[in-house]
Amino acid sequence: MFKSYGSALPQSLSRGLVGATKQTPTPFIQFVRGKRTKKYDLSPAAQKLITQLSVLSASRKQPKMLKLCPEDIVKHNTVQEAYKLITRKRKKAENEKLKQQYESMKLACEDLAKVSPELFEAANKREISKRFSLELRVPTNYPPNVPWYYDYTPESPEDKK
Amino acid sequence: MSFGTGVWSNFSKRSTSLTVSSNKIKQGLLNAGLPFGPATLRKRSSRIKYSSPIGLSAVYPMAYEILELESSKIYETLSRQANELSMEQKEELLVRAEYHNPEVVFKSHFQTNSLDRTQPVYRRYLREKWESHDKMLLMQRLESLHAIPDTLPTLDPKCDVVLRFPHNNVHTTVEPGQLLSSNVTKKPPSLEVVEFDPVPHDLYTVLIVNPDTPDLENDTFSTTLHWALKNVPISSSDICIDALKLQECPERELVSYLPPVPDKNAPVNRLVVWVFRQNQKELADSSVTREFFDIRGFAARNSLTAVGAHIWRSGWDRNVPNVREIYGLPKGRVFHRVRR
Repeated sequence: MFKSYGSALPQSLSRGLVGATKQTPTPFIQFVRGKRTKKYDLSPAAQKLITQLSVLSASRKQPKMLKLCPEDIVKHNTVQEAYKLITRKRKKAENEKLKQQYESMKLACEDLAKVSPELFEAANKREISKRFSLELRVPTNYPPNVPWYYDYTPESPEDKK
Repeated sequence: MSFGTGVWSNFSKRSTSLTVSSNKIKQGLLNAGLPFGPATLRKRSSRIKYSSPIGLSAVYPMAYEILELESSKIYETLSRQANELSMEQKEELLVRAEYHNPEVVFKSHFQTNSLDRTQPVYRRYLREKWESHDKMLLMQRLESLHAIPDTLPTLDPKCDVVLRFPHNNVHTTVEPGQLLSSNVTKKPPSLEVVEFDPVPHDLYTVLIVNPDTPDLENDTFSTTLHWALKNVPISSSDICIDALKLQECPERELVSYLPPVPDKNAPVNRLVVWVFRQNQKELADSSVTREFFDIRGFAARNSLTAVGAHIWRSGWDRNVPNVREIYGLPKGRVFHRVRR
């Protein structure tokens, strides 16, 4: 129970038993409900046991239950619904984009197979002990401004010397 | 952000019942914070102590705008495709357009008794509420009291039937399966038939049957008809069936009300109320007999669809002889007590 004699000290945000400060020998005592203020002299083994039991129970470790008035319940549910709606739309758009990308890749490969079977086979040939090409990039939501450097030429051995 | 400018604040094409009537509550819902405080809290001390959740006032206007935009798109679809859509599709779109409107949500959850049943969205909320409890309770009571195989074979409930007895001025409803005294049931009940489907103005038949009348010759029980009404019009705005409706049109009453007057030491009588839809037709064969009434035959001959039911129980009590006297009925029988 909060109990204070006279006006509270400016630094009296500290809970529990407030003793005398340096400035004034204060008679103020503040009690706060639920705070451990009494010191029990226990053996370390007993203290350890108590701590273990305390860990197993949820007593006094739960946050306060939120009590909302009816208007705020409605507002909270409105916010939840709006979030669900935009998430649904975003996921649907992403799925649609991925589907279109896949379809276009598939179509391109089919076209290539029809036009030039040798090139198709060359494109799909397995290179021994190659799992991921150096050019492979992980798909990202934020690709670089310049996605591909087209004017690359490999270094010639004379330049190195 | 867009409070008061969107489709949910425009009542030129929408009913005014889709808004909250109390101004303080309305302002509480149509503003980021609560300008008049939590108006729904009764005690002043609670109102003073109350504080909204952190961050709600920042995010609620955005949420309102998002949902209102979605609703306006649905209204546009409705107006564009007005001719191509069937009635069920239109109803579904109207429900979706208003389902997340905060004012509608508030009214549906906290002001359920004053909902406008002509609006599809309110009918949807009423149906959801009914299906979450009362419908299941009714079916449980009908099945456990064996009203279902003993009268009609089964029931697929489509509407909520609310039963009240006006013996005193208290507006309590009867719970299905409740045991009522003869004093309560001596006068005819008043029913409310709440339809959830967008059924046009239709005619209804109401029967109250008692499958527990002792039939001594055959050592079994027979069904008695206690009340029969036909051609009763029900609509969303007018759901009550009571003495007033019968007074204006007396030929709606096929069989006048006979109160349950059980015999002493006979088993407790079940009184089952059945509500049928006549499917816009007149009754083909409205001849009924009070004694040995065949409800299945009656329903089949007139091609009636059972849409709702209710049940109460009546046992003998010391007031039953008085009720018999009031109605001019002969003296009751006294059966031998059966030790179970």
